[in-house]
Amino acid sequence: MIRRRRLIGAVVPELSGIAQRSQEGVVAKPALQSLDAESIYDPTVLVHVLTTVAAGAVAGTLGALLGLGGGVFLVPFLNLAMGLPLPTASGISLVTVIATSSVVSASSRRLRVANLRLGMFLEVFTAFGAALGGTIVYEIAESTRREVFGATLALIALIMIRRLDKRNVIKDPSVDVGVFGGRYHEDESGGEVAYRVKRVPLACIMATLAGVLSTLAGIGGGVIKVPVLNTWCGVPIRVSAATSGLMIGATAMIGAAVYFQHGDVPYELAAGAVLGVLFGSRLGLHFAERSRARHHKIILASVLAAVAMAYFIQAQR
Amino acid sequence: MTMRDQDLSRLDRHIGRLLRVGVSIVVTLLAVGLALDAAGIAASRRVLQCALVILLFIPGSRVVASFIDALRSRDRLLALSTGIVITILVWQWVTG
Repeated sequence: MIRRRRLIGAVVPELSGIAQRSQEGVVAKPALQSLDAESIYDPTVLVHVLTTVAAGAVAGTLGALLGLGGGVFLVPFLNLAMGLPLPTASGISLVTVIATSSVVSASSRRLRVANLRLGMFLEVFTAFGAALGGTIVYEIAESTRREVFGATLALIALIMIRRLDKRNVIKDPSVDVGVFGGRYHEDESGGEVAYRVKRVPLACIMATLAGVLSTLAGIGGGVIKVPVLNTWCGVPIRVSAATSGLMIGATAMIGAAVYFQHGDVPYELAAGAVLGVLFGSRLGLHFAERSRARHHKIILASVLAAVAMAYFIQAQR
Repeated sequence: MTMRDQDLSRLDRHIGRLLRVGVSIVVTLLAVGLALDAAGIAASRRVLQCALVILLFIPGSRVVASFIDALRSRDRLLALSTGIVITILVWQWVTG
């Protein structure tokens, strides 16, 4: 606790009350906390809010380039570069995940492709996992949390490089698609295609794991669910991404509840991050249409691997 | 798939509208809240709090919309799934 307070106080003196309140349990639930400082009228706080906006914009841009929420980039920046404690960085990140999910899911094109029934069925397991993560997140040591976050980033880097983008479509849309399968209009072939969902128990297990990691690491969890659905469960990549986009908002809502109730979501920084991420997401989508995805993936997977290494080194200290 | 096409498209429209309106309100309130904060006006905290609360409950309202639509279209699996998710969301926010 003392270390956390020092960390925040050293880099963001005006925010030191966040950790203090969190530690002492002064902020009982339901506690939606604000900064202890007077406001961003204070120039120092204003600088931190503007830095958070910029960090959110960069994270949103990188996330959109890869089809992710951006939390995997935002958490390390807030934690390592700005010196915010991991719970505060994770709490802010989960709020931005909700914003990104809401925007991405609002697209009628994505909604048509998304498999609502599969998404909500898997969300039962992800929500359970996220709630489970919430019960242990404040019980485990900071060093363990750093290791978990580092391992998550390393896993994401690996998945990013190895992602196969299987099509998994059946050309005949009249086939029986089963309980969870579906049909959609595929732009590539110009017609309606169908797909069946395989290995549902595996999808349930991975959805639970994604939920736990969502709360522990402050990410949406789509980076785990999308490749699993696409590679092992027979779901086309576009359907996997759209379905995951629908789910991560509800998942992040559970994790965000935990951080809010511990007073780890400062309003001003969360507001700045949300605005930044929303702006960055649009910018990223603009760039994504004009550049080659493979190069991004290799560069960003390398960045994630380096950040993962930094977390492992920190956790050993 | 037991849900009919017209149900799906109706649900799509409802959810899309809900998310777009919700996010627009949140973005506006966050920008106003930060501007008020920068101007040193104390009410800014309430505005930011309000914006974040709305943002946090957008996914929840989205699940509730799906639940209601699932009941209307008699999709038992979707209704059961969304019902359990709503229960977990409420439980998490009430108990922490």
